[in-house]
Amino acid sequence: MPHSTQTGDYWVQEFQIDQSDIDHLYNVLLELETPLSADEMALVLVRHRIQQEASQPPARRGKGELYQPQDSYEVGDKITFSALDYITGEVVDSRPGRNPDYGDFTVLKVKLPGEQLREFACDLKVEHALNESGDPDSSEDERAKLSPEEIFIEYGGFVAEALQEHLAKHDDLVRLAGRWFPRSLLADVNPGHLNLAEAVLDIQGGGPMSTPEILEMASILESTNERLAEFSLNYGLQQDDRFDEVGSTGQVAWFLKRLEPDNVQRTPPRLQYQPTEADQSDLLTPELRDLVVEIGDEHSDLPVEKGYRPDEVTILLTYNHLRAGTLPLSSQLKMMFPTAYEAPRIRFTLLDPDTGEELPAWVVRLDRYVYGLGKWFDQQELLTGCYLTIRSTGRPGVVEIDYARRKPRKEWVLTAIVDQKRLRFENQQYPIGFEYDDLMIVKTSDDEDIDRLWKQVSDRNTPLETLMEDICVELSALNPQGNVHAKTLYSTVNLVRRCPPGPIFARLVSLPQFEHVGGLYWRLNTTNTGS
Amino acid sequence: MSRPEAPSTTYIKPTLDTQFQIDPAWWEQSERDLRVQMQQLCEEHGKLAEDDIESDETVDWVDPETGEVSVVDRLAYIFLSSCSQQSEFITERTSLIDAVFRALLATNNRPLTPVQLADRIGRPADMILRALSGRRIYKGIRPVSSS
Repeated sequence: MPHSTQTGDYWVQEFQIDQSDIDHLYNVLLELETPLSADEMALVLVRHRIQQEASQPPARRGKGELYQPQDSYEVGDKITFSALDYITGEVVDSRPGRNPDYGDFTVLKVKLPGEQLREFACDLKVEHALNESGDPDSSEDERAKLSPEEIFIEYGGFVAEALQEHLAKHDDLVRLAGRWFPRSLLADVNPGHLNLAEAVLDIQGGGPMSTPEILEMASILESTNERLAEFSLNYGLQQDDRFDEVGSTGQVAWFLKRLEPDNVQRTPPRLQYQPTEADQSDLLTPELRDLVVEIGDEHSDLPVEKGYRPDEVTILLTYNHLRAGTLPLSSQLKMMFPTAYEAPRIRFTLLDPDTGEELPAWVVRLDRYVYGLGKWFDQQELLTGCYLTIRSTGRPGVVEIDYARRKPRKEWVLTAIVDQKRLRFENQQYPIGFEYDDLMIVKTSDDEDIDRLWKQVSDRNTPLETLMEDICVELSALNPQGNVHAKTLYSTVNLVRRCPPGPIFARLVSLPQFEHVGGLYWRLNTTNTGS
Repeated sequence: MSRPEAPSTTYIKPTLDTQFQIDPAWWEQSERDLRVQMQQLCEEHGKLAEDDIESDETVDWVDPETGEVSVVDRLAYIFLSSCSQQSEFITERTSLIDAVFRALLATNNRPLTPVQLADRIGRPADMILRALSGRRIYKGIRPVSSS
């Protein structure tokens, strides 16, 4: 019979965390005075379970006393035979053994389950392999057994997963940056320590600083175990509203909240989206769904391919992000950027490969944007509709941002003008030095005018379909057929109102004032306008 | 040698977990004498037992691995307790089928799986399984149908 912990079924199918496991982990954490990750605890647990099994009296595996030929047994005794797959039988009779080589011994007649009677020796004076431990596993199979480390490599993932789930239910356990430790065993971090940490971060312009750097500069918790001091300070800082944990996965870094950029603390107004209408994405045709994916708006909830981490993602720059100096944290882009265990805001670096300039940037996960590009957009003279490429660098916390540059040449570009509090469009010549999507590109003549119109639309709560109709009227005038591409409509509507493509496209499909003319083009049906 | 409980006479598809043992009925049908075969396997001990071969005297033999007792005659006892325990009883030069046959005799024909046999004769279990899985029966070695 194989050891149960030696089998995959034990770890994959049957494994459950019990109280003795938790007690053991607490003891280990107390002894080590070091917070452990789920993987580290999984290895501790695998070792514990294997040790527990090895120390279990072998006889307990069956229902009777473990058979050893040297022992004495009586009729009625129940015996477990380790060499016969631990089956248990009952002694029903006995007789003296007959063999001068063995001396005096007894032969037991044993009734085994579902079998005829079989005979076994007892009171045997000569040596027998079963007399040593009664368990052949302890000698023969010992060499073939997998070590705890080998079992951990094979099945540790299942154990760690079960642990994560179980530990989350324990209020006394604190989890920080993927490590766990009992709250009651943390080193004492007092208000004085936290004030010193604040002062140190203040000197450094708010941060980011790693916890060991803060500990060293503030000269606090010096007599405490290094890792425990780090973990305890992390916990203290996390509980204090003055500090923000901004490190990417596996790295803890702290920043003073009051010194974080405003647009990190509060979502820039142009990026704020209030979904008021019911989701009508089920109305979209497959072509429009593809277009939603292509645009990659951060508020389009697109399916994410789990476990896929692209090395490079190309996105379209929209007006709102151009103005806010941000990038959309779309489903695809989210996989590229550093993420963190708990932090809602993550500080990282964007690298311009052309100049080598490093731009301090922030991922604001909940509101789905990346902040820190305002100055760079201005320097590059980019427009809405420009293709931006985001590339991983292999360096933790550093991501490249680039675009396809070309020699600037004058081109006819759709230009938005505010005239008598209405949005109008003209084609104007403008020098362009980058690759762009000709259906998305739009230049504004005066951003302040556009902002005033944005406020007016917002204050009046102008319905989306009314805006779409007004813009369609203006865009139709620019081409002889009077057609408007869905993508152009999305790009221009977003000049004056934040809206992902789904609701815009759903209205194109469902409202009678919009007439589909083929492909992804629509035109305004003037006989059915809602205005 | 103990008599197997249920040697298979119908064809079953054996696996690495299927137990095999020697079927004495096969030897009887083949008009060959298993006892003579045992005697020939170990010349030295065979000679010792020659005088006893016709003897009806039996003794209890204790299986060194399981503690199970079998009542055997003198020839079988000498074979089990001495001959089969020699290091040269099964060697690298012993053919695979012969090695399996000897290994089964050494356990007094206790049913063994290819995995258990592999451990005893030092050959791969799947090779043993292939050799024993054909329709042809070698030396009476058959799967035990109850396993």
